[in-house]
Amino acid sequence: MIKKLVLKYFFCSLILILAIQNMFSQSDTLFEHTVFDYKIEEGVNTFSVIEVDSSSLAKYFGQTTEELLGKSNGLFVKQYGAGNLATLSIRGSSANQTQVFWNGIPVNTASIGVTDLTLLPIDFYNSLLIKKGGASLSCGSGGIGGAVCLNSNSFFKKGITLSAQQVLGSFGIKRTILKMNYSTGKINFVTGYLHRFSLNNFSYKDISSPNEQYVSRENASINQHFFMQEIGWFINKKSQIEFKLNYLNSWRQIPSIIGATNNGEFQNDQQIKTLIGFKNISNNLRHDLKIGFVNEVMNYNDTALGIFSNFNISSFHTNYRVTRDLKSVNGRIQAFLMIREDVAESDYYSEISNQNTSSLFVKWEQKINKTEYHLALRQELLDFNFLSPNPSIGVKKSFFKNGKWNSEINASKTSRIPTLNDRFWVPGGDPNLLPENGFEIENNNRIYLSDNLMFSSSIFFGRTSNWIIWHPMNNGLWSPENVKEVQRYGLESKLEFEASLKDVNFELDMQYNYLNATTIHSFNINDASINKQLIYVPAHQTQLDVELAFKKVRIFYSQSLVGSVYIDVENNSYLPYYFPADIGIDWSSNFITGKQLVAGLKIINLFNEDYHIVANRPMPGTHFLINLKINLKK
Amino acid sequence: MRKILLILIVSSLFSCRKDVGPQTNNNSTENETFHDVLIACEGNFGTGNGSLSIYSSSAKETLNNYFNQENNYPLGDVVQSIASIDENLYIVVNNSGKIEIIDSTNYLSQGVIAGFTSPREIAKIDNDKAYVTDLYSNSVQVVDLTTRNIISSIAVSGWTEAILVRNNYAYVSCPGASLIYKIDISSHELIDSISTASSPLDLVLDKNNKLWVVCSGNWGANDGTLESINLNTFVNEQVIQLNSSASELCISNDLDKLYWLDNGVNYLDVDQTSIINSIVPSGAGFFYGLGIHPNSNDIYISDAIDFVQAGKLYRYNSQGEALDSTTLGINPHAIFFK
Repeated sequence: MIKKLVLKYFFCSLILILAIQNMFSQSDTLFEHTVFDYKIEEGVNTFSVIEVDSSSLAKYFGQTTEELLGKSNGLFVKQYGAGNLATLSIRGSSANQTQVFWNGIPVNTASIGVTDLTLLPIDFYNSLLIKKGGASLSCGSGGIGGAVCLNSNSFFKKGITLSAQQVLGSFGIKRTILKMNYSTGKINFVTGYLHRFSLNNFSYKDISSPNEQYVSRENASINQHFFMQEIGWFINKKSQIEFKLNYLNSWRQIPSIIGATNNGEFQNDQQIKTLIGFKNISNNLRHDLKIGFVNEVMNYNDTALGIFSNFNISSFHTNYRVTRDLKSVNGRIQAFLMIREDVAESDYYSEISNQNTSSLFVKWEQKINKTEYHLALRQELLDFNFLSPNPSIGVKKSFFKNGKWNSEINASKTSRIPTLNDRFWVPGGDPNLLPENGFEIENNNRIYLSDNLMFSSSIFFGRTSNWIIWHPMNNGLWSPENVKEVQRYGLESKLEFEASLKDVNFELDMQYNYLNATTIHSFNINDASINKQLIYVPAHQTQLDVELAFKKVRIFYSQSLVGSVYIDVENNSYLPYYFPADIGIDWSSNFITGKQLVAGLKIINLFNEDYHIVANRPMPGTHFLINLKINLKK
Repeated sequence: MRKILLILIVSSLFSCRKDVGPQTNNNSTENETFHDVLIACEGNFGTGNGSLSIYSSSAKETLNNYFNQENNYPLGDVVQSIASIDENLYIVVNNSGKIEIIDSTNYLSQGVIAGFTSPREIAKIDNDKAYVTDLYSNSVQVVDLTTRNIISSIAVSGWTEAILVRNNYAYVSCPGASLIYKIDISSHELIDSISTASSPLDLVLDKNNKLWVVCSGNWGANDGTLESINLNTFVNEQVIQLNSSASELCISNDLDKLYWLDNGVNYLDVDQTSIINSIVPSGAGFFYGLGIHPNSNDIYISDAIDFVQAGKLYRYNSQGEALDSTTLGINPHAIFFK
């Protein structure tokens, strides 16, 4: 069965490749650089995108993707304790309505539709883009809340760079990162290895005991190995081929909630992500072809109760994007075809389950004086059946001299196809579930108040219908149904200030987000969640980041405030706000005869705050990270 | 630099002691009302939001999350069942692997019996010992009620659920193996077993000294049964096919009528077992627990609705006429009468 599907899939891909190859043979236009600007290629100009570039990523030495995203505007990371599952919610959407793309390939697990952020090693990427709401349409489907795009780009600067980094910290934290980049100018190799280990035996307040004593966290250790290999071939100034591979082997214990029995649960994840990409420019056309394969094997064990479950999911991807600039009208037209085949095997599916999701995205963008607009349409197919199309439209205008005020208005429709579990879980799965559908309208403003002071804000309003909920049927079996309609609106604001005086550089970022996400309609009689805030959606979030750099020394302070979240649908019970702060210092030497040393110290949860992001799953108190990194280049 | 200092000071102020973990808006008021009905609200598995609701049938007053309110700590994860032993109430908390002991009058904690794998029900067998059934431990635990320790275990096959003690024997339903075990409570030895239909659950004793067991049948197959067992011969005397997935077997105060959940509530007279009567039709939610008040014979039904939001308690009289309803905690299941 799997073999047949694989053959069918690769046959289709081969035809596509041959067709594209034929187009490339006619190419004759020179251009300066074959490395596409993925932000332009894979984005839509009238949508705002938050970019965390490589220099910002470097600040998170040895830390994790969830720690970075947890501090970003309009995002909420639901973390089930240190080292454990962490999922992302954008603008109040659920975790499976937020899509994650690895170099353009969607990597949300097909079984439950979420991405565990702890399995994404930030050290392997040099860019992270956050696309909210309809901005995600240009990347793929399912991003009702939005999408996170992780990219590792090939650079062909001749030479070799090596870096070795060791992070040591409290609770047995050990993180080793080795990375090598070698380029002949024509061929580029990047090899990386990351090992993360932690006992996570931090002490926490046991609120389940009458005297609330502090006890040590048990059964929470992790041991994870990540490996990356990338090879880029700069064929000529028109063409480039790249191969990327990420492999992970993660073993982690799953601690019980406070007050529950420790059953010695653990989970082993193995994941391979590969892609072969081909980029070419010819006849004013830019072609970007990617063929990807993702395989995930997950084994869950409850040693005390003797419960074991296994999932083996393979996904085959073909993405082809073609873009043409029409310089005479200052416009750009693009078509983006995605074909995805998921094949899953589990004890919980009656047979090997597979589903095909294909889509075509087309966009038109044009700039007229200080105004840009876009029109786009995404058409999804599930098992070759057409679903309702998702259009988007947007306008961006610059005001004042030098574009000191940019304003954008976008309206878009998004959808999410049910997961494999929703459709095929035995018992209860429903193959005829409808996709969740959403629309969102947003207005983004960016105002440069002075050369070093910038204010940005977004207001948005959206609704999602056919929200899928699992609930019990009359025969006692649980089954998913399209039950609810949810409304979300909110405000995101950010003030950024930067000043320099001689060798001193000062940066200040302040964010405030307001979010209202409520159920407005339900097919369930007596649904008590109507007009109530969704669980685990904070209404208020603020973030303050201060950085002071003096010559080779950088001091930074980060303060979060996440408002209380409701933990039941009737909004009777809640988790209190939390207010963790981090402080750190790092020092970088100059490169002397090709060698550089970087050292740093970071104190996390500076004020030793007791808090839970998820109820009864405690977060660690004050802890330390010490970082030492050696960079070599030749 | 002053700004940074100011930020640090403000931050440290905000980081002063505050509540940790789940908090509940208590909308209950404490008074002198006698609450004769207790409901074990399971909560959601793995979230630790199990709770105890208490209800007064005379004052029609409900107090939710009452254990937490009186003891200032949460009851635990999956509140499974409640039993009365001597002056205390024993609340079995399944996924916390413990039994909370509270005073039956003021609900204050009297101690904990811990160390279970996945306990389901507790029943006193003699002056100082009790049996505890378990979902996963493949045993029935023997508990010393004085020292509050597990002192031994009786090996069985799979999940054990209900316990009924009669004379010198304890009868234990074993849904996993579709058996009823007979255990000698003097020697704690398993001395006999009898097969039933799939998934035997609750046990009651009728006025004829017959043991009745409800079997929910295979999942989704609607092949549940009611079966009667002669305790003298330990022989299965009668099997009534229900053509449904039945559960929550209860008996009237005269021990002559059996009630059970089958979407709605059905009953039969133990002397006229050929006629099954429907007394409460199924509701819009999901009936999850059932109890028959030992004084009034009123029918109490707990409704888990969608297993996510707070559930309901419905009260009907013995003729099936609706009397009252109230809101409980999440996933209300076992109903206990003081």
